[in-house]
Amino acid sequence: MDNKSRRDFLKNSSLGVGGAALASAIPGLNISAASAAELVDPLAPRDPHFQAKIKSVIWLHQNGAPSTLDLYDYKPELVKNANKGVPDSFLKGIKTSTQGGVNQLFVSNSRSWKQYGESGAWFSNLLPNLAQQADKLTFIKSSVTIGATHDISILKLNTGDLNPGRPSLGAWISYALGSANPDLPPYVVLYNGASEPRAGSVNWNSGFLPAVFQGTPFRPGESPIYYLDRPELRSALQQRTSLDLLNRLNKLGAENRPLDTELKARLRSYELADRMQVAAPEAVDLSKETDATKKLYGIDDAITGSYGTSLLRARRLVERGVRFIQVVSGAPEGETEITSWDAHDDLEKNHGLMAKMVDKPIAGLLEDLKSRGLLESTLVVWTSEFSRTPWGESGSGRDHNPWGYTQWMAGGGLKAGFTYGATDELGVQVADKDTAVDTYDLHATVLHLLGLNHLKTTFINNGRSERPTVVFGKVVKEILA
Amino acid sequence: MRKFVSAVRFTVLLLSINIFSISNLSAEEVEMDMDLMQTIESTNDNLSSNIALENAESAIADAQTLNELFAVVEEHYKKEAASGEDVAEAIDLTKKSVKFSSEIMIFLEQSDFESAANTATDLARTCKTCHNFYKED
Repeated sequence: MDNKSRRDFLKNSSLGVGGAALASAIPGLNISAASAAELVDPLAPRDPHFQAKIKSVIWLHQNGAPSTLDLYDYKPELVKNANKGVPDSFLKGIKTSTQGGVNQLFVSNSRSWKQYGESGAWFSNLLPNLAQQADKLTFIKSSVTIGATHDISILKLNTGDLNPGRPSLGAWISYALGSANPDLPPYVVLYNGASEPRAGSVNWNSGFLPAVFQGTPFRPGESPIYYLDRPELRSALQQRTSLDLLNRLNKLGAENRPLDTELKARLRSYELADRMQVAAPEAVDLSKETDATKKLYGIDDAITGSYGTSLLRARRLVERGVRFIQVVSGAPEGETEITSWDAHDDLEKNHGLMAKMVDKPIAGLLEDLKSRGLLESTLVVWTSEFSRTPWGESGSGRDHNPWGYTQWMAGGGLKAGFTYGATDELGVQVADKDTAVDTYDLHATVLHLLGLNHLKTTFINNGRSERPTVVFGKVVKEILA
Repeated sequence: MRKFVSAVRFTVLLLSINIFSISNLSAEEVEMDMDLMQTIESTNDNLSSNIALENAESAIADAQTLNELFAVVEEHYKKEAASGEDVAEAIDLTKKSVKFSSEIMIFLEQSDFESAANTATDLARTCKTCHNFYKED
């Protein structure tokens, strides 16, 4: 059965969401009115609190924590004082834990810096393609977080807490806005590399929100969704009949368990999976993209290919109304030695590879979104769990730095070609603590651009009103257009 | 009624963090310890929730409790300063916290939940800033 006839078959079938419609559409199915109402689609689209500037978010998590001192944050004083000790004044108020103690300031001999675009933003030689997009970017150079280890800080980056149990940002957005496309999940996770992102599914979990709002991971490779195609031994009619029976049994079960959100999520996922059989392959199928587009994303290159594929898929998902696409950087296909940005040693080799992996694809994404008129309604966020210290570790690496680093955003509602905040002269800490932007502030700002007031995006959990930004979070108004 | 509730709550909290006698309650006798800090954190979480739920009475009680607990913290750091410790910033931050909790109560009396929520966020951020410098591992 081809896709069109399959689509028609599904359209004419009795499977679909909506309590009352469902009850009347499936003969013999006896659902009470109360449970029928509760089965109404939890992902139905909902209005934001005020006019949104954007419709979708592409969250580019740079896994492993890149050194923004080697990418965006040019520090002439650091260069001048290379191989010297760190003055005590720069370490005031922070607790370091570098193996071997705070070492001498490290500067790579291979690093060079230039200013680009009308904004004059600084980029190192590691990001030649992204540098050409300088005027599209809004830098936040006073980012801070808490973090001694990746897993904990990645969790905080995505959920706002150091402990598992809170919903991820994408789950909150799915909860608040619903889905703009009933045939695709509103929240998708993409990644490249041999294995799932470190710290795993807690980072796209729905936490205490109903399970239906969790992220759906699309795996790398040709077939991102397991068991998408019907087995050849089964006919479409056999599959339809099985699914209808399964649906009937599930709904009978749901009637007895009206408060079971896990069951509702499972019902919803079956229904969504049914529709995704048609919608998902088309969404991630890059064969219809031109060679020029694939080249733009670096899909023709061994180092950039897998990450570029993730980003091109992200663009296609934006076009199809997916609200939040969490792209976690992995490693080029076949690479086993360097699997993330975590350069505690040999930073030059690590960042040389990782920067090359992401530079062209991200630049391509921005250019492609712009040329298709999508950049104004999309938010692209470069983010990481923390960054890296100006002092060296293990000779040629850098340790973790949560006290001051750079992230950026690009897209609708922002002051493009703008920089907010700064770190001190050596890049240790935020220079002015009043400009510090924590993960909660980043979340509050993303939600604001989606038309959501983070203070009013609430859910009652065990009698307590919870919000995405925990008890913190301020919109960074200075970067808004 | 509200002040009574708040006073009772404060007394119960002090009892739970080991004071010597009910009849001689004073800020100086309360230890600045993890229990106190966790109590502040928990009360702050309650405050945020009650503001979001627009439960003014409970939120005011929470803010009042915080106001009193931050006064304890302020006294602690003033004593440390008197013995030569470099805690000027801690004193400033605690004074800020006392001020914020007072402002929250005023906003709540006026049913201005939005301003109360924003100020509660400022209060939480002040706690976090203080922790960055003074929280012991």
